[in-house]
Amino acid sequence: MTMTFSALVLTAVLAAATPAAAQGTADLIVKLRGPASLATADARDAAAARLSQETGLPLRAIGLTSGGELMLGIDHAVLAERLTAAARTLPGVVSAETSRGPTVVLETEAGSGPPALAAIGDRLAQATGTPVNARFKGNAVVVEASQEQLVGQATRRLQGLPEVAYAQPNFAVGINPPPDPMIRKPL
Amino acid sequence: MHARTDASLPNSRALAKPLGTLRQESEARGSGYRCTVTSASALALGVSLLWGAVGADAQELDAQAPMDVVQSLERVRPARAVPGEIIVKFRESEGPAPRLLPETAAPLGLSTAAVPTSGGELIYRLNVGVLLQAGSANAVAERVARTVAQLNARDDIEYAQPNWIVYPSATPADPGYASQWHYWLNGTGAGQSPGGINLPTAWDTTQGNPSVVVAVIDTGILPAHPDIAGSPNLAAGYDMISNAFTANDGSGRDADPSDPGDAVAAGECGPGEPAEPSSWHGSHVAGTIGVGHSNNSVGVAGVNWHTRVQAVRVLGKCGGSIADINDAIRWAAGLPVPGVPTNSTPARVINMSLGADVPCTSSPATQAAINDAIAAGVTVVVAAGNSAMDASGATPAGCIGPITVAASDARGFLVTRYSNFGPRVDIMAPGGDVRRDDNGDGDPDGVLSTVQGGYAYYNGTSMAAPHVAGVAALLLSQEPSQTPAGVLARLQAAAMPRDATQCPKPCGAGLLNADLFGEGEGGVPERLPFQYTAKVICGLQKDERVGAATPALYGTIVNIRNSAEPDGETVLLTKELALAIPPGFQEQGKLLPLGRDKLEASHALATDCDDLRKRADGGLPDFFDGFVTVRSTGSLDVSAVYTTAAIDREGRLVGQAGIDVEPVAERVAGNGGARADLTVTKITNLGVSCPGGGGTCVTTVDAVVTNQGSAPASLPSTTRGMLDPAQSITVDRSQGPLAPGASGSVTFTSPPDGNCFDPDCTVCVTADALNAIDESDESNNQLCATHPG
Repeated sequence: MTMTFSALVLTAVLAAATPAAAQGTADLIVKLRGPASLATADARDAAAARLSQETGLPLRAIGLTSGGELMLGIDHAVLAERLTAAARTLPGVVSAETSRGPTVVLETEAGSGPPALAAIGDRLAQATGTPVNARFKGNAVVVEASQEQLVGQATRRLQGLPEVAYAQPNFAVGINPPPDPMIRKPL
Repeated sequence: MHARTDASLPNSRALAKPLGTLRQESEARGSGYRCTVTSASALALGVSLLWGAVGADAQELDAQAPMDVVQSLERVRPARAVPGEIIVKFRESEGPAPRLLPETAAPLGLSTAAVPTSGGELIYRLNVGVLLQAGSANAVAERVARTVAQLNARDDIEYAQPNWIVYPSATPADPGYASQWHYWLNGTGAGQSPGGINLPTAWDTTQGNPSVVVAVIDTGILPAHPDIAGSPNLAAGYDMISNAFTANDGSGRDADPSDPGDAVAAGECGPGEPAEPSSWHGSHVAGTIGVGHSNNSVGVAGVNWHTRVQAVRVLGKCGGSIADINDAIRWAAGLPVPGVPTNSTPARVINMSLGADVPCTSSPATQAAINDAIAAGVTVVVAAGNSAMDASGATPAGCIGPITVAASDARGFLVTRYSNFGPRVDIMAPGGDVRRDDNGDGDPDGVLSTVQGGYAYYNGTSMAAPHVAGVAALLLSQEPSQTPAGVLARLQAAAMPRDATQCPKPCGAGLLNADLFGEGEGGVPERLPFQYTAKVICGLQKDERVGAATPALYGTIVNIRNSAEPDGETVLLTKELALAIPPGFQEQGKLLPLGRDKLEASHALATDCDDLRKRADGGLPDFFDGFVTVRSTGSLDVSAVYTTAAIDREGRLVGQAGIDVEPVAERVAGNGGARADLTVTKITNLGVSCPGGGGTCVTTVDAVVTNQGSAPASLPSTTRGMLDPAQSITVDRSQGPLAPGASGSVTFTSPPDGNCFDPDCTVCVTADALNAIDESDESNNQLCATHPG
């Protein structure tokens, strides 16, 4: 007998490393070797598609920097599709659907608990090549793909490509003051 | 200076000078000061007195408006005596009070008219004809020096001297200056602070120049602040924040760098992140550099009274992104940024009081941006960071090329509770400590500057960096051809060294010292590690009893050359003369300062006997024998040329006897010239393993670092391994101290996915990658090896 166990909510990017990144700032800065021009949007899209192919990660071009670097972001929509499709192939999964977030509804056998949950996370990670963490949230299961982990993985894979001179996350930067208050001085 | 009235001032054309100078001059006259406040006003008044003192001749000359002479005198800062005036003290004698007779005064170019002083001296003046013939302040000063020497050689004169001008140091009229201890003269007396950076001394020479633009890459600016509104020091900037949420002004990038605030609610910057009020950080930083009006009796003063501060906004709610900062760096430097209009007023100095706690090796795009700015001639100044850790772990503090600034308190000590430190720190400057009140003024010892609604004390390396950026701007206002490396060298050479109590952790060359321009003690750099001592023998030596010199006419020329390639660094040097002969000469055993010089790469200068006499203010006898010591910030080629001409018993020349050229040995202060020399002597055992399959390969390699120098490398250093492809895999390893001849081994292991073979693998290993060790050869630190795949 099968029964609906819970809803598995797949959110492609949660737990953002930085608010700036969470607000949609580009994730990666990539400098390509060679004279290839990235001046046009088409050229940047083509480069992003090529790099996606070579890294196995869904990447999209965002722009060009003053240093001639390609700004890339993780393509969340494509990533969600991949995760959803992979979830549908997992044993015991009755259905997996993407909606806002995206969300996958999972049906599995009764009695499944945390061990099964961990296995789901591992299998999704293995199937998609994407680091994910699964957890219960109410009556649902939430799988989080950490942006920090995703960007780190993408950076490492990009750095390993011969055509990439360097690749790095678009780090968040702040003023990071000492923990002291502003002390006003009337003049 | 003696009596003067407004009526004695020359016409207004001669007094064209900055507003601040005029104001101070007025105050000086009104308060009855004997000495003027600024050199320009002092010289102008000195000249006016001269005109007034010579009666009809002066009136006639004034009518002829020799303004070129007057204005040239006004422009020249180094002259520090009233032009043409000499104070003479005659020896006590019976009979009428001694004076210079016309037949004595005329050959000396002096007027016979003299003004008595309270000390029984007489003030004589060069006559107007001599003054005009000289034509420049320097020539007048030289003529005065010669005349002083001639007068001092007379038996009836006890002493003669120029009428030196003494300057109270310039201080701004802003009320907040009384709380800006961080600018004050360094010391413990009234109006001084042990944490001060000697700005009043620098302000005597320059208060900045609007031609020098300083970019502040930060949270933006408050253009309506009372100290900033209408300020000519505010240049057009840019808002480089791409993200509308971060920008908090409803849009992404635009031409308005105004700061709308960066306040955030709890959780807005991520789960658990607290609410924060707006910092107004950029305005505080810009205020220190001098974006506002200074010396205007409102608010606070800036390091620069005249400059152009350009706000480039990159930080907003929850910070900003490194990509925006990289673009801001290039934009500020005048370099193109896609989609952004080119900066029409490129900066000479960039200040970045911001950072992230990741090493710069993790942000090669930032290193590239900094490289581009420096290549464009821009001096980049960055805060070391406030994590009380080694600055090499932060970006941009740990990047190569910028001036990295740690923070000091009102005692001049490193603020160990927050300031980053380490070999990447180049210099320390006041960042303050609001938890202390070492100066006992009842206020916290923070840095006082502009914020929304008024003024506030902040502390942090964010506050330290703009002091350095501001002083760099002052330097560039005087020496506009300085390169970024030259700016750093000048700042480090002048820095006030710190001991282990003041800086228990490395804080660079010491405390920032703005006294870069004067010729007094404070203006002489304290870090001049290269030293050359040349024997000099000068003049007509007729007396066989004097020393070992054979009677003859002696000459010496000390040639000094900066042999660096044309694009190499400018070397700053000082010269001093120590006299051995004649015995009993009043200056025997003392070091006579001969001034200082800058020597650009591939340039040379020479000092001969006449030059020594002039530089020593005419106080040298006909014959002298001693040593000239040259101390410099960099290595030089120094040689001495000796000429000897024979004389007969009557002291007449009978022909040239010989010329001899001798190289002068270089000594390096501190260790007698011995220095360490780290080099990578071996790269071995390069291998790759892929335990988890093709995508998770790890590269390992061993290297040997050897100290082949003659002195120990007494500090730990960083050995850096860079693995292909593109050397983008960088691994740092710490290397302990190494005795001369000793070696150390390091093993580098790449992170996962670090397969170096593509198909070949090139490995480059760099000893002392962060330049912690002073080496005899800094060019042999890297070794690369390629292994076929």
